[in-house]
Amino acid sequence: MRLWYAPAYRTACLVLNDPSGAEEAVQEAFLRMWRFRDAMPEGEAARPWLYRVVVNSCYSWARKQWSADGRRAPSDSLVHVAEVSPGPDEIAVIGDRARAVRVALARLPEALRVPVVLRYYAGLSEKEIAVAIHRRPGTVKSRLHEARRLLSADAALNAFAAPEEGVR
Amino acid sequence: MITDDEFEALFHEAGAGFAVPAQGPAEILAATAPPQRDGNVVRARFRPREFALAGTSVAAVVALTVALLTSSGGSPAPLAASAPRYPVANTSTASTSGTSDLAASFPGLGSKAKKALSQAANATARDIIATGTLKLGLSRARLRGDVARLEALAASFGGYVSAADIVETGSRPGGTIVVKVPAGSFSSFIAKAEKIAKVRSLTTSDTDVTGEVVDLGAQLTALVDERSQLEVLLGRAGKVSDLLSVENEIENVQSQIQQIQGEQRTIAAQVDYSALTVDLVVPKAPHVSSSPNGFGHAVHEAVSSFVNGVKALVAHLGDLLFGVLSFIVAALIVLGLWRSIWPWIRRRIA
Repeated sequence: MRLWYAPAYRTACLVLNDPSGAEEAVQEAFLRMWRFRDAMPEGEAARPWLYRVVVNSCYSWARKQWSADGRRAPSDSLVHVAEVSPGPDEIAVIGDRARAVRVALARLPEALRVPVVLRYYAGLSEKEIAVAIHRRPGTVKSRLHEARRLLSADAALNAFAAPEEGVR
Repeated sequence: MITDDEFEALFHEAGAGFAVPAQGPAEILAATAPPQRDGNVVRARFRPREFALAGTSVAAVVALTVALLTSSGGSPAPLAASAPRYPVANTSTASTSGTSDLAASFPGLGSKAKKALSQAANATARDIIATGTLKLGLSRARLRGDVARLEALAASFGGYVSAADIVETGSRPGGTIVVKVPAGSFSSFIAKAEKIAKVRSLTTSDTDVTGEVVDLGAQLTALVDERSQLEVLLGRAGKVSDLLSVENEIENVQSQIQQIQGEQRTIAAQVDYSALTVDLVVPKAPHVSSSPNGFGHAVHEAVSSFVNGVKALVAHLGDLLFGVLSFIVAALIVLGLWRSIWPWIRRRIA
């Protein structure tokens, strides 16, 4: 569990862009895993299953936030969370590149953000992402393509990515 | 275009920017496996919560013991004393409330710890369905009055008659009524019901449905989550075909949710109200003979003897008649033979 906590927490952070919310969501996710541990698949299938629980907990947390605010949940329930700008302390701590990624992710709709985070941060294959978000592999592929296109179009992100390309 | 490797590097850098809470895993462990953990650092940090969980368990055990002791001393009727006891419903109620009280006594407790306490409470509370069958023997004249008394008794315990099938006329009057009373008053109700009429038999049974309740709860949680996700999807569905497909799926999930909720309500009603089936049996009227002594008895005996004599005579006449008929047949045969042989004998002599 300790080995899984950090990647799960950071995945939730990237999805929600809210560390405290991510902590709650991951805690809830691990409690769900414990509660339904009998249903946990073995071997390779365990990884996407775990991320699926984490992603579902993120959705639940986002919905609760909206319920607490007394507003109706929009079609994209995670957007409002992700659009919260990082505070000054956080900006000081994280690097500019990291901040650029977070801002770029915040601009992505949740349907694209979740697969792209699972692909490039969690390192899941397209097939595993399909299991994790309960979608067909073809859908995952097209969403990843669209997410890559939008992120590549982000000027700030491109600026950080390009120099490295030059260095190589 | 940013390459996949660059994306991975950027995302990992962004992810690494989030400092992982050091106490995160420990909090989860505290909520999931509280009693016997040997992590000394974590233990020191989360001791209050673990103490609360340990206290909950102790309170639950104490409440269980007290409830058992209390109920074992309160069975007045002999039949109730020999029958199975019904304190289980009381016991589960006592453990739940004990845990809740304990949780209330720790106002500073975090939500996760409260959740853990709730889980501990659920782990100790049992859902028991108690049922019983009481067979009462009563007279025909008292049938209606005893049924009314049973109804009044059920009402006095906060219960009710859920079914009744009474036959007051005919050769075998009687019937069955099903009385439902709050689970906590079940044994007291039986003790009082036994005093209404003569008890012929009493059987009770307790069924633990805790596992079923937990299963239904888990299924419901999963379905509600699924419905929520489908509702999110519904908002984002672009095409009409997608919209209809998601709506259909939501309807399916909704019907499953309603079905499970219905099952939960049924079980909850059975757990909350124990059912006692009361069989009312009116004994068959015994045959009353005429006075066994005096002149009447003598006449009765004489008539009986005469009838018995005639019966014996008739029975023996059959045998006599058979003998007479056999003799006549034999005599006729002998006579016939003699008549045919006698002329031949006479000629020989002559």
